[in-house]
Amino acid sequence: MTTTPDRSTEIASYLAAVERHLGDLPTHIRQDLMSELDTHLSEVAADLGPGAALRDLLGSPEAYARELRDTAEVDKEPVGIRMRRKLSETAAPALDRLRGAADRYAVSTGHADAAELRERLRPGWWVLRGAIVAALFVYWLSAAQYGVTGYSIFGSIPGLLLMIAVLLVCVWASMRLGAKSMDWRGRRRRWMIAGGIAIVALAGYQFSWLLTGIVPVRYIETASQSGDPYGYVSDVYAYDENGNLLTGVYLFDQDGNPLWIGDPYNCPVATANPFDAESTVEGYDQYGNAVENIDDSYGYQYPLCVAGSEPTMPPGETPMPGDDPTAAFPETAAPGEDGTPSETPTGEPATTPEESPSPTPGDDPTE
Amino acid sequence: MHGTVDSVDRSQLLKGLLDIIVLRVLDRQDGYGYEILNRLRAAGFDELGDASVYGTLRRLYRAGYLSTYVQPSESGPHRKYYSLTEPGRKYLRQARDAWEDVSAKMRVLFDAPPKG
Repeated sequence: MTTTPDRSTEIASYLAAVERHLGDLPTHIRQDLMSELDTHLSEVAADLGPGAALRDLLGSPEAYARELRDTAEVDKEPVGIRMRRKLSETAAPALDRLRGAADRYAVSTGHADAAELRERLRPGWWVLRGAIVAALFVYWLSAAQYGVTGYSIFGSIPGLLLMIAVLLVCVWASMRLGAKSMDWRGRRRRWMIAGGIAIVALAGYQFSWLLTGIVPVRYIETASQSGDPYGYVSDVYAYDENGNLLTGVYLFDQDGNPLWIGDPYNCPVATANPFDAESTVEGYDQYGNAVENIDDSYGYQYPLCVAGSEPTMPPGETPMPGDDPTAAFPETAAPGEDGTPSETPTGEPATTPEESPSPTPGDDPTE
Repeated sequence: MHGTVDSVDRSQLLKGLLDIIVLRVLDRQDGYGYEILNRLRAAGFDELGDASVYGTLRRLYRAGYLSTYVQPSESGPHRKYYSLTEPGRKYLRQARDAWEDVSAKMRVLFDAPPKG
């Protein structure tokens, strides 16, 4: 029979009376006894006949409390148990709040409580668990066999068939395991939960690059620049101690041989003769063959490209910040902001006003 | 036990055996509080009170010898079932050995003919 409302008040008053008589017990023992006593008393009350009272079966609350005290006291709680109890006592308020939030969420989705929602979601979780395991299996298998055979199973018909087969098998196995595990209790159930968490964590670790978009780098090229550490240098700019750009500079090594650093034909704008006019014979041109003819005992004259045309060194990195090298050498640097050599600036002002009308047309002398 | 022993003495005697009694009953089959009491009554331990059984269950639970799970019943409220843990089984084996030992010595003690 079910517990009627008057029965629950009877239980409550009996409980209160028992608790009064247990007041001198250690808190954790009293709390433990009282925490389950209402459940226990409702079990007892469920067995009572309609006319019988709880007192008739159990005796007075004082006697009940005395009997409890006689049997319930423990001399010493094992350390492990005590720590676990302390931990659960500490976590209890947070867990309760979490449980309340979960219940509210479940109610908002149209379910009675979180337990019911979890019950509904369980088969979905089984399918998801199987799919995750299948994804991990295919991922690892493909990585392993790609390393051996160099054949990627992704995007191939056999690979697709394999993926479908693995998916079906894993989902089937997961659902079967799930249905079986419903009857499991205690240790086996905990293992199931731990296994589920482990699978999700492993998948999160393995597939996190899908979320961040960063493909894990498996192979790093290391041999590219071992030969020439200055292979990337295309020009050299030398400055004096005042931060002024030096032009017409030649570079030599310890044996007096010219350093052939950079490539004069990489300049964005056609350069002057990289070897300078005075050191060359006539008849050179801007192509390598002709260059071979000239006296190359001095090497290139730096900067190879006209100063300022290539922003390889930002002004801030010059020895004297704020002293713009292009401004200091107007004869080598282009007056224009874009830094192009003197040939181009003449065309530059003519084009800009046509494309975008200036708010103050009077500024432009060419108009 | 002798039937002539006063019932108060019997309950005092049983108090020291409550652990073994409850563990042994649960060793056979999981049970909930009130049902355990009924099983004990059926086994002849009439003088055990509900509070003694409940208090023992909670004490054994706190000691880690029992675990609990809740099962809904067809009629009435959910029931809290108790079942033996591995430490509980071990404890029961040791307690049983101790009891057998004590019992055998008691038997010898009582069987010895009184002198004089």
